[in-house]
Amino acid sequence: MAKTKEQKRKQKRKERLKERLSQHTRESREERFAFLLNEAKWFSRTNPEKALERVQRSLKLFPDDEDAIGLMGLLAGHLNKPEIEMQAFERLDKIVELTPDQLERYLRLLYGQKRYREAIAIAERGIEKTKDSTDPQTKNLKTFFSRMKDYAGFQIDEKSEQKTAEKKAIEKKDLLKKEKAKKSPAEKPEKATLPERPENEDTAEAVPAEENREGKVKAPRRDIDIPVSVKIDTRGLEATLSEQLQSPPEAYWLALEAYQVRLNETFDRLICLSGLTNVASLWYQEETAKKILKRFRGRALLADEVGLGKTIEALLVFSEYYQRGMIKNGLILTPTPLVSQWRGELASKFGLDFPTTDDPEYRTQGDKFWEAPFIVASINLAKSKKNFEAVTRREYDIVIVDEAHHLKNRTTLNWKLVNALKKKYLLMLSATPVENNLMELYNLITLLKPGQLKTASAFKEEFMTRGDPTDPQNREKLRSLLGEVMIRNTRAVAKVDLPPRFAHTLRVDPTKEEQALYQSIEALIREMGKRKTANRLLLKNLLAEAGSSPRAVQLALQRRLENREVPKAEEKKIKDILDICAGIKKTRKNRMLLDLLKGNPDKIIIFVKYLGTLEHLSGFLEENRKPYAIFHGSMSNAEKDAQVERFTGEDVHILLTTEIGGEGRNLQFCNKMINYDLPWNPMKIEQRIGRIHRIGQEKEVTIFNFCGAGSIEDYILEILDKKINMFEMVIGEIDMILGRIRGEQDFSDMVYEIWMDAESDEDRKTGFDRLASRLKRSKSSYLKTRELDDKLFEDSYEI
Amino acid sequence: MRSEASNTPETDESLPTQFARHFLETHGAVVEEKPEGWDALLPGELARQLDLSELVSARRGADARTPAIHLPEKDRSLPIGYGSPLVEKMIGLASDRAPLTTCRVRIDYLKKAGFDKSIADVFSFPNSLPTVQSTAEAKTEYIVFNCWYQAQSDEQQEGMLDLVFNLETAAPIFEMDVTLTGLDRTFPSPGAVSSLDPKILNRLLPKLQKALEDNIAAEIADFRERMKRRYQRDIRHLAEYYESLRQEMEKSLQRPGLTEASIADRKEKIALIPDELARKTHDLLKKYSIRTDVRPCAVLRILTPAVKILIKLTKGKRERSATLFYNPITKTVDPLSCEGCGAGTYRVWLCDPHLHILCPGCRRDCPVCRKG
Repeated sequence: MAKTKEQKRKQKRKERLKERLSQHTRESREERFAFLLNEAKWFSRTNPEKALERVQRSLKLFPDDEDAIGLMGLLAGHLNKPEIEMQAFERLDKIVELTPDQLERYLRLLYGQKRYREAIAIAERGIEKTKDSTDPQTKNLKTFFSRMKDYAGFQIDEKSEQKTAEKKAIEKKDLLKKEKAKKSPAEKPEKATLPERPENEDTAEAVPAEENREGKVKAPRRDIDIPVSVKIDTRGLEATLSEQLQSPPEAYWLALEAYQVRLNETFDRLICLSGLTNVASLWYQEETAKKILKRFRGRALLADEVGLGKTIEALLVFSEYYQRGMIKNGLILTPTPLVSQWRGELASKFGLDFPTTDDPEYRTQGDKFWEAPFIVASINLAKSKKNFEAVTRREYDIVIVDEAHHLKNRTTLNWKLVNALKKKYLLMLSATPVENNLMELYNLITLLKPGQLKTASAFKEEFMTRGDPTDPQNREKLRSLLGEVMIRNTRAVAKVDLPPRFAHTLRVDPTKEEQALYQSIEALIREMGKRKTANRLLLKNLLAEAGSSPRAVQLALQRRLENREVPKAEEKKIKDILDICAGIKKTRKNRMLLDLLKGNPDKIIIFVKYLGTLEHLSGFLEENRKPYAIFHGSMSNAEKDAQVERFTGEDVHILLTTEIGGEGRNLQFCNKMINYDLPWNPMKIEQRIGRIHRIGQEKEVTIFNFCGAGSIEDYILEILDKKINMFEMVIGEIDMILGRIRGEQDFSDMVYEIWMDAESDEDRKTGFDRLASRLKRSKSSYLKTRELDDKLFEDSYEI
Repeated sequence: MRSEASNTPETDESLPTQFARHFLETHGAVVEEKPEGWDALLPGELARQLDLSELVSARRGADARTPAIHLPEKDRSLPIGYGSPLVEKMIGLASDRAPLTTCRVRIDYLKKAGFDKSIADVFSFPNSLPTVQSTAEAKTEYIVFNCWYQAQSDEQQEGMLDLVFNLETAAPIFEMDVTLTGLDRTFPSPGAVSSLDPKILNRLLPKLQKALEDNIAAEIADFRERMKRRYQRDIRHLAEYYESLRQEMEKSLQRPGLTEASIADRKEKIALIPDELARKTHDLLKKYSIRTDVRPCAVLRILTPAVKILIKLTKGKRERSATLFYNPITKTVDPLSCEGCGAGTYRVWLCDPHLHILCPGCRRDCPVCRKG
């Protein structure tokens, strides 16, 4: 039914009244709000407590008023009421966009209340707001936000760990309660005189992982230690102590001896260590040997980073088996130029003297040579058609392959040879087992443990990524499989971090006489070299002696004359050279040496190659009243010790020594050395440097290399120092680089050939430039491989 | 303090061969030296136990490193190297129980004066003043615990330890040559031995436990470091693995055609990853935790003349006495035993106010006073 007019009027009046009332109420609320806010502002200076009370009341009338909330925040801050201040920011945050300053204060409050997750969110907003700012103050704020974000993230990790630990503790308590309840009353705890310590299960706490705000899985903290528990056989001890009858002493010693034998059987004590000479094995090398003996049962790929001593590790294993009578024969395969080095290591450090393919007997004995129980052989000679059958016919208890990356390709004779050898233990050494392709690793591992990585196609399928042959898939599984046969120690685990070394080349312009001497010798060598019967080594030495000192040349040539090793036709020339030698009283190198010594107050070692030069320098130092100690191979051990002691003392700052200088003795207190003459073989240079640049050296090492301008040494230094920076490399790296270019040829032979083959200086320069380019290419290829292997293996295969 | 191999003179023989020979001699065999080794005539019972003939010959072998025992009657040879069955059998018999032996040491010259200096040489008393009150020659007894330990983690390490204590003071003695090399020592004939006073034993055993823990901690420090490093490496790999798993799973959520249910299912699995990682990490911790078992191999009691030194320690106006021993075997004064933890110490503090003797580790908070 339609409303009457009267009813409509009443309705309108009612609405007007209602509106008036509500307007009135609103106005009075506004008035009241304004009054309270004004009061709050008024009191804020004189009575902040009252002011805060007023503003809080005002906010009951208009909860979203920005001014009032802001004032509440300010007053609460002033009165140090963080909860109220926090409320202010929470309210403000809902109605306006907070300024960076406000965000900063808000973040501090959240952090104070340990609300870390919210703190991270606010910090992120702060970072976003300040990211483009160039104003220094705002930039500071940005740093503050990022720092607080990280810190809050860290606190979340800590907090959740604590929670988990608490939870575990409660669970453990409950479990103990349950177990106690389970025990029957008849079961009384055994009487124990020794205090019982908890088993590791009790001490082991779960290490929680945490999911962060983005849901990313984070690793647990890395500094967590592992628990250790010690449990003593108290019963056995009490039984012994309560013995009424004592045992005879023989039983006592015998029991101890029995445990010693048992201990040795475990390989926990290396019995070969006492027999080492001229070397102190390092802890990680011993641990590596133990691991190979205990876990890998003598079949392993030793892939330590360059310079950590793979040879020593392999020889520790070898020697341990040998001392225990567990190997009766063996074969060591190395690249040809390294055969003598291995023989040297075996003899000087392990007292073992084995025939090698460098020996004349190798040529004279034929197949019989390969019947010796232990042999050090060039892999190239062993795999040759002539020897393959003889080498693979017999059985070996142990085979060691150095530079095993030469076996990376299973189609090569190298791989086929090692595969064909009948062997019980196999050690393969390589710092760079993977150069281009994971299949190289597969091929090496298959030699060690056929089937460990299944078949080649299964390996490709399971572990190789299509399109990138160096990027493995199923890393975890591969890591676990490789971990059963491979060790790769890094410098980090070995804690071998040597100070840097720096080299200076001191080039001397020879005097006319010195130049004449060098040229005469060169001419003599050329002439002698033309003969078919010429002894190449002798000629090489003569040129090197010319680069060392006139006295070295003099002694060498006199000896040859006395031994009638020189044909009549050359006798006159030699006598002329001897005359020149006798005429050279002062050399430019000596003058430079004196200048260097005058300006150097530190201890310094002068290395020379020849005894003649040693004698020559010895006289020179005496003449110039420079006290020095002297050290050479023909001295007795006692004399050597006395000389090293002199050098250690305060009065003597110079040690004059030959190549073998100070071998086996600690000379790390000295950090400067002079190569008065330069060995042509970079490995020999490394050995010299290695006398002072070794573990225990705390200062940077300085090397001064002397050479006559235009001499062969000058060219060698140009390549080694300037072109490939050999002197700044890690020990062992130069060998990796040379190994890639030398093939069967020794570096010293290469440089000698370039020198002798050159018809002019231009030729010579071109020859050496070519060699330098090859070395540079080899270096960059090595560095690439090293990088790849570091990335591939990381620290996953350390002891 | 590691065990020295034995008191037997060094020969060219390998340790297993020496041991085999000593074993036979100890068990009554008559051993005769031969240029190429030795022959032994075994008592019947021993021959049966070892399954050998009564007459055996040990020969060095072709390369002197692979000796063997030859059984003429049976015309066969048994190797006597590490791990060979015969040596294993002998080890089992020689170590089936820990023997207790006593030994008397005779000292020709015993120090009579200069103990002030001897004390000052090795001891330091940072908060008290020592004065020698009196000295007297006395008999004292040391006890040597030869122990074998095996630490197990991802790998295992075994070793031997010798711990020496003065029975009277219960102080652990450092660096004592337990083989007593060069000393005039006599081993009384086997027979009854005076058992240890239970009071002494009760005082000694907690100290033995403490000394074992400290010594083993030092012995396995490298081993522990290696295991820790490996553990940390493994948990890092584990976290990397689960992170890539999570990423893969999250990526798979974006695949078209997934039902609501399968999305929810996958999300649930993703949410479970942190727990799974925590469990696996805990498993790793269990795997790498080091459990060390220690058992005694042998015990030796050494009775020796010594000098008992009574000293007075003065701290302010208070003083207390302590007993020291001049040990003629180590030729130095034995350390004092910390009354807080039992460790031997040459750096001695006295606590306030009770003047307990404390080592550097206990000096800040006296454990005895704390116990009340």
